[in-house]
Amino acid sequence: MNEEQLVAYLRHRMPNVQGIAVTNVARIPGGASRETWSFDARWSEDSAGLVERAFIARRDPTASLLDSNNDLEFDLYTALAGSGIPVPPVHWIERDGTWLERPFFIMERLPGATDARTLVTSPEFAGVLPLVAQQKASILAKIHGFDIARLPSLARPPSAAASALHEVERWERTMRADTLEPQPTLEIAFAWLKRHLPPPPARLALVHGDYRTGNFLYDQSGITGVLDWEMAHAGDPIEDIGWLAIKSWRWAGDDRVGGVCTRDEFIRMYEAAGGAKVEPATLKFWEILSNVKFAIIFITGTKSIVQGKTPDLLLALTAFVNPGLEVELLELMS
Amino acid sequence: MRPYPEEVLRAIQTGVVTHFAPELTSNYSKAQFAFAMILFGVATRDYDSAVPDLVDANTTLRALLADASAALAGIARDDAAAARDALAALPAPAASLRLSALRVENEALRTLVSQIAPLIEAADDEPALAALRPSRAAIFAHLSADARKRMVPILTAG
Repeated sequence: MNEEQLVAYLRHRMPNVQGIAVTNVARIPGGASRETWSFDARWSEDSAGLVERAFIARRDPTASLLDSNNDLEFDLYTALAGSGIPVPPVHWIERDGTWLERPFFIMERLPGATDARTLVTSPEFAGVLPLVAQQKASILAKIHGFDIARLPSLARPPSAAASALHEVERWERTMRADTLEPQPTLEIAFAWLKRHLPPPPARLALVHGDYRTGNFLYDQSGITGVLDWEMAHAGDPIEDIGWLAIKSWRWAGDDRVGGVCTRDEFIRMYEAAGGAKVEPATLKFWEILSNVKFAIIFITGTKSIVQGKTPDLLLALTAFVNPGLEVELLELMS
Repeated sequence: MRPYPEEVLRAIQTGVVTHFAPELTSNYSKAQFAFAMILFGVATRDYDSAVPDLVDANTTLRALLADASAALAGIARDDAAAARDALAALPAPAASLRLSALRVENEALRTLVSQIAPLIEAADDEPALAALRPSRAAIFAHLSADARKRMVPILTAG
């Protein structure tokens, strides 16, 4: 992706503006499921004069930790605009490689940073951390209260009653399709999950699917945007709490979930904000499934790197996260 | 575990060619370089310990599966009988100390653990499977110890 390609694309999308220039094109590290590129653009409009914008391009990778599609994320950002859930405005989506070699969509770049360790360990953000924790809980309650009828492209289980088993079976299928070796710990975990299915949720909710510290933007004003919706689906809202609670996201090195507050504090703030009632047994189910899911995501990445589908070394590195996940799973099931 | 050390080294080589040569000054290539450095450390560590770790793991797994098979003999259930049948023929020991041979043996043994996973897991609280509880604890302990050997501290949060 380069400046010339982006200028050509913006000219195509904005034929009535003049003097389009693109600068600061840079790929943002991470983004193992989709490439994330940042760039600045400016142009002249008869009505507005000189316009300057900061953009993000989310482009399909050559290989990924996840099978996902741009349409879902684009549709979500579009539907959530104005909902009170902070998301970047999206502009255009392209479903083929005509302009940037692979499908992509363009959205605005919001202010703020995503780095989780900086947020939870830097003295610079110590004062805003309680606010971030509060917002993290209240925004999640809003996400779970969003009307999924407005999201026809959202994947959903056959019923609320089937939501837990649906997720278990989905990830089990992915493991069987992608693993290159026996996975006894995950097999034991799947057996545990099938014997400990939680009661169905009161209703299917919008589940973000990757709601963790590191997937929202923050600055001194608090959370400025919620990102990375490629794993969103309809399901049990407690799934998101199980995911954000896993040990892998405890960036502060202690028991604080996501490094921002204790588990009990988060649940209290989430429930007070209108979130679903969090039952401990249900949360444990989703925490175990979240560790399983995380491990399987990296199994998919391992397959891609071993089979030479991608040169992204992140997918080789993340394979070595799995031993820690296995240890955590065995402790949770012991 | 996968990817194997030589696969990691190959991935690093591919990554160096693909990412570092064209744009080592960008944040992205710097990140890739950092990943490569961690992977070099992992590959070096595992290359040295892979053979003794596999020999130890295979010996332990054989003993665990033999104990599980003996425990299953006292459980009068169809699934227990099927599991015992699966364990009746353990894979032949590796014919050499080559990694390839040891991995084949290890994967066959771990496949057997996977096959009896539902019974091992359920032994925790199903009275009919109480005879398997010592096996459950021992298999959990082995899997945990094996995973700890493979952990990379910088990638282990919490």
